Amino acid sequence: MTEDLNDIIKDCVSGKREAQAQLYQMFSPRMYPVCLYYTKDQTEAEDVLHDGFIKVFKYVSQYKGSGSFEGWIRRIMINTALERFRTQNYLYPVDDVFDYINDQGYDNIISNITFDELLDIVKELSPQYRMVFNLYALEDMSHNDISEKLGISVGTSKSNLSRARAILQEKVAKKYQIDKNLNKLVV
Amino acid sequence: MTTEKKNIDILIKKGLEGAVKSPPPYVWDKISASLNTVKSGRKLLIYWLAAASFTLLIGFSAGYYLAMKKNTGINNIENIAKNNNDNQEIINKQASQAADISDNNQEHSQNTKTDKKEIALINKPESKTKKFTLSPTKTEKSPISIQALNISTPKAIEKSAVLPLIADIPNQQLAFHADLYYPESGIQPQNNNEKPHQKRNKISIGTNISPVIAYRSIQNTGSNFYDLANASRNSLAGNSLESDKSYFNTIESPRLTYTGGFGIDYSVSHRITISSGINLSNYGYNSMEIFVSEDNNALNNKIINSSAGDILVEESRGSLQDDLGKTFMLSQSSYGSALFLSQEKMNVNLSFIEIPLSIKYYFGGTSQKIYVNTGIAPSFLASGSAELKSQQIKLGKIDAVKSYNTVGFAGIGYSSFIFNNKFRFCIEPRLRYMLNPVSKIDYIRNYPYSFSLTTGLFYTF
Repeated sequence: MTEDLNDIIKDCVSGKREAQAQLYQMFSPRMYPVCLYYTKDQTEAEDVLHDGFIKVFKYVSQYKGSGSFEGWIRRIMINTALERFRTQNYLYPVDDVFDYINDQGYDNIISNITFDELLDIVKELSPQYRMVFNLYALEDMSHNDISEKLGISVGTSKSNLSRARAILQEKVAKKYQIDKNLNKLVV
Repeated sequence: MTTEKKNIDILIKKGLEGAVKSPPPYVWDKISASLNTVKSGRKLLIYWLAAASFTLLIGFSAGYYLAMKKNTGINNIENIAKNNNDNQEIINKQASQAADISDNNQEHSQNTKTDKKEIALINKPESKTKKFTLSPTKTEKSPISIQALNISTPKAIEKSAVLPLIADIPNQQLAFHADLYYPESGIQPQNNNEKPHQKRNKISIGTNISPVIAYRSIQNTGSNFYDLANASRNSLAGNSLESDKSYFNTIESPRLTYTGGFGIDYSVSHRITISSGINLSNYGYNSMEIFVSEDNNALNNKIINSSAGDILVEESRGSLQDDLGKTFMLSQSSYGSALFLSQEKMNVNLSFIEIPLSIKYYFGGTSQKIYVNTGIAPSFLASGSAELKSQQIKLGKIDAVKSYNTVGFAGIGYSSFIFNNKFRFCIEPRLRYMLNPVSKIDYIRNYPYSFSLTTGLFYTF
């Protein structure tokens, strides 16, 4: 952690608005994408970012300096998204179960796919599938942790992950079948 | 923890992680505005606590002043004795006033004579002797009848004051001695059978109960807090913040409930009383439309919308019938769709244990008084639940209400002694308002409040 960041954090603890603005400018570009792939749309992502940063400023005095400050903020954002998920996303229809598609290598397209394209694909998942998939694949959480966080059974978590993967694979495959340009995308 | 990663996981992770994208500028404006609100809320709390402390301080000071007012003479003479040991003239003046009273006393006391005596008051710490003259009344027993002046005195003083007429009185007792003769001290040279002044009873305990009309005010702080409601009830709830708020204001209404508890009053003075106690206070509201849903998997509890937060259905509670005659089973495992019941009412109840601390200021006479009461109370959540009003079916628990809250209250009451001077009845219209939003969810701010007609019966010791 740089001295600058330490100073900014200290000033945030004192409630200085200028420091809060600096902190926001520093971390919001990296947190906003996190909010985007944990929520259903841009409006909700902005709300999570808003609520998350309010918590950051409220509890910044509790940050003890152990571990990455960015990681600390990221956890707050994810927990804020989870809270929101638990209270809001319970009426979305469950997608039909897709046939499981053989997992294939994607090395050849990773460098060509953009954040927005991936985001669009991930957002096609139902909220719960998306949440389970994100927590498992991006946050490296176990099914036990996920079941605890979301209030679902371990079996449900596994099932959701499996379905989410199937859907994602299908979407990715579809995208490249439609384009028929897979070869051109290979670097 | 071991995670078995698939290629698709790696693709998504590599693609999403480390992305940088700036949020729209207005997000910071909203955050900044919210921080101002939080700050002003804290400031308000600090001001409020400062005002409450100041009120308490003023209350105690006023009470102390009023309690000591009857001893003004004591203070005067004491100050004279302490601070102006060499000012013989002032002491003599006070003594002369005392002599006048004593002269009047002759009307009430036959066979008494007035005789000017000299009393030497030895102010021990300074070892100085002060002298002044006074006109005590004589009785057969003693030249100065302390009893005739209706003063209960320590024996040591009585003895020393009577016989030698030279009293060796320490500072503290000097004040008492002066009190004998000061006209405003409440001591009247009357006959011996009359009490000097009535002792004020300081402590009362009692019980109170009140019917309550409870409701809540809600604020939406930046999100559509029920997309669910918006999506399913567009006729009432649109997509704007205001329509969310108006949606709940349309479907929810005040409810009738009760509050009760025990109280203790400490009378600081005839005007001011400090009150505390413990109360069970109910808040809440009725909801005219009930919106039932469940999570994606139909494995979790059903949730029923309410502005206080989601209500988790704990177990199978029976069935509901919607406007179209469709029966909906309220159970954890049955899978169903959203349901509106415009004919049914859901009763949302929030119960809190409160420990009030308040100040009452009384106007009027001794037996009947009007008072103003204001104070705060820490408020601990006892239960948050919902039931169907007509069928008395308990639906479940409200999931997101804070355990600790603070309520402010104020009222104007009437108090009167009944039966005798021990029992006191009071009736007080009172407003309670939760000073913080009770919902844990940031984007819903639900402030319960209630109007009550508090009736109480107190026993005074």
